Amino acid sequence: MDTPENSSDPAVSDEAVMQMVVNGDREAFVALVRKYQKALLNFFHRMNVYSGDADDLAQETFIRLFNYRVKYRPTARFTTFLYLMARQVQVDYYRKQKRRTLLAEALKNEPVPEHDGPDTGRIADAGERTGKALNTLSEEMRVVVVMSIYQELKYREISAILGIPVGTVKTRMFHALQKLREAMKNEQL
Amino acid sequence: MNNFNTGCPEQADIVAFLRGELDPHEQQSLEQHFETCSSCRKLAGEFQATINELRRDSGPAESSMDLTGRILAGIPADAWKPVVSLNWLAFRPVLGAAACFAIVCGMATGLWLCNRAMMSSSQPGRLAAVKIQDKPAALKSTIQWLASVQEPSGRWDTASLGGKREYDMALNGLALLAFTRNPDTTGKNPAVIDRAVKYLVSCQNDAGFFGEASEGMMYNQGIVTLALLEAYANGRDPSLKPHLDRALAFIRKQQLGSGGWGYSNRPDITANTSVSVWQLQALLLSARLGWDDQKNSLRKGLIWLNSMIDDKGQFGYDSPKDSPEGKITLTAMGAMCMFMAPETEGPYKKEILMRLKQTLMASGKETGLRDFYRCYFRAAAFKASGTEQHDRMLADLQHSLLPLQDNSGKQAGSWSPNDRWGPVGGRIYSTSVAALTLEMNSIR
Repeated sequence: MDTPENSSDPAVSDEAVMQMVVNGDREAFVALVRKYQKALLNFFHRMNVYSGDADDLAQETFIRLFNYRVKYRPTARFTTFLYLMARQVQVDYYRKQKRRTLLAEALKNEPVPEHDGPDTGRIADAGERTGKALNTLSEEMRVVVVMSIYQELKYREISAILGIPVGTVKTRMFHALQKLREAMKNEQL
Repeated sequence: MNNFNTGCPEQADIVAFLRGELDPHEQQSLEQHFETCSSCRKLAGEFQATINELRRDSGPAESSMDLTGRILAGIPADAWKPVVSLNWLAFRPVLGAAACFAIVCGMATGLWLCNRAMMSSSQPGRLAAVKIQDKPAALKSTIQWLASVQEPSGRWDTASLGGKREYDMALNGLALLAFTRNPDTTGKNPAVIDRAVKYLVSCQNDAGFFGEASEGMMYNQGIVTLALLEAYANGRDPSLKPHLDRALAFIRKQQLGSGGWGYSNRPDITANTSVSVWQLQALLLSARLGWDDQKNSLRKGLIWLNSMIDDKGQFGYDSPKDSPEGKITLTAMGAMCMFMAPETEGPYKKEILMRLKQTLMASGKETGLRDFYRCYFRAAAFKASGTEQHDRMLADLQHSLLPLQDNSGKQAGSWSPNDRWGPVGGRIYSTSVAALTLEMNSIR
């Protein structure tokens, strides 16, 4: 899945490496970027970000991670901190996309696509069943599924990242899986 | 969409079950339910198939460019300066400005020392070159370092290594514990223990307590008494017994009406879990070694400790709700005592012990900059719980400590006091507690 590849030294935890970053270690930062960049690209891809923008969002996430390193608390898992940044970047992206869409609508008087997230790029090449099935989910269900199934974050981490109770994560996952199962079943017919 | 609804309330837990998100009790309960409910079993199979299908999509994402280079180019060259996280100060709201300054200095020094130990240059590939000893080697060098800094009198000069004077006895006690629990691989431990015991006994006054009356006296008392009890258990030196009688009598005398212990036994002082657990450990071991539970101190203490558990299975500081510095360490301390107590001494039931085990299971891995004290008590609680899962968590926790040992220079073998208690305990504290954590297999 999209969990990062093993680092060159598995005995050094991500949290310890992040602490090195806090201490100004450039090489430690490079190690984290290399370890997590593919996972982040896939996160944005599955969150329906236009494929041409995913690189920019991953870049923005790592720069935010660096800029906010003073906020990092070693008591929290590194991935919680990383995906908190990624989620903020993605939400900002959605807002911008929505503004752009609204502006386009005002200028061209064209209909606004009915979708919580940007509906470009990713949908156009979403031939596979999983992509279509994911598109049946609301954004709030989709992010929980992506974080749990693809990024392999624990419910507790997802709860901290999204600022919702663990029970809500559990409920959203359950309903999301019901919808996905239905969608995949229909696709087979 | 809910056409699978069988009416079973367990249905809502199926996805969490498949994702490994239920606690052991819920997991077991649902497994039992599956044995009798074919609808839920079928639904679980369908959900698993859906998850498998989703996971088959590995995703196309590969960066089309040198993303690392782009990211680094976005960070100004002068931004690579160490920063000290102010969040750490929030842990100690009760400290005055001077103490806060000491923490910042300690943190900065600790971070630098940690940094220095883990990386000596910024050469590419340095992460792969971090030198980490395996557990037996790490423990051996830790013990060797502790022995090397013991004075001929048997004392460890804890203040010269960053400890606060009012906790000198407790810190000497921790160092002695590191030796009493050590599977002696150098052959030098008996001499070190002998010297340390003589020194500590020489510090006991007529009232039975060790060192001087101070804010830390009950920590001093609990830790030194426990260490001397362990030394007594190893050698059964009869000359130690009268000292232990007096030390235990002092602990009983200091017990508050509530059953717990505080910084002293003044009427305005309330009992707290942190101080009480050290006294309880001493009383628990004394009972195992044949001392009578005079005045029912142990029993009363355990009843009080039991009253500190909240409805989530976590321990508070001086009430179940109150925990100004978090509940992880307190919960590990309290749970350890509960697990160690013989059933006849505990007023608690099996359900409470089960809940504590679940709380510990949910406590996750140690992360980031260490809290040696928390690490030690978590390890002790894992060990005392006696479950296989906890043994694995104990091994993980011990392994996570290894990269933090100093492996070069004058302090090689010791552990930098780079945690929140470092400014209080200094290097004797961090090194002794790291040793105790690595020695956890031999806990009594």
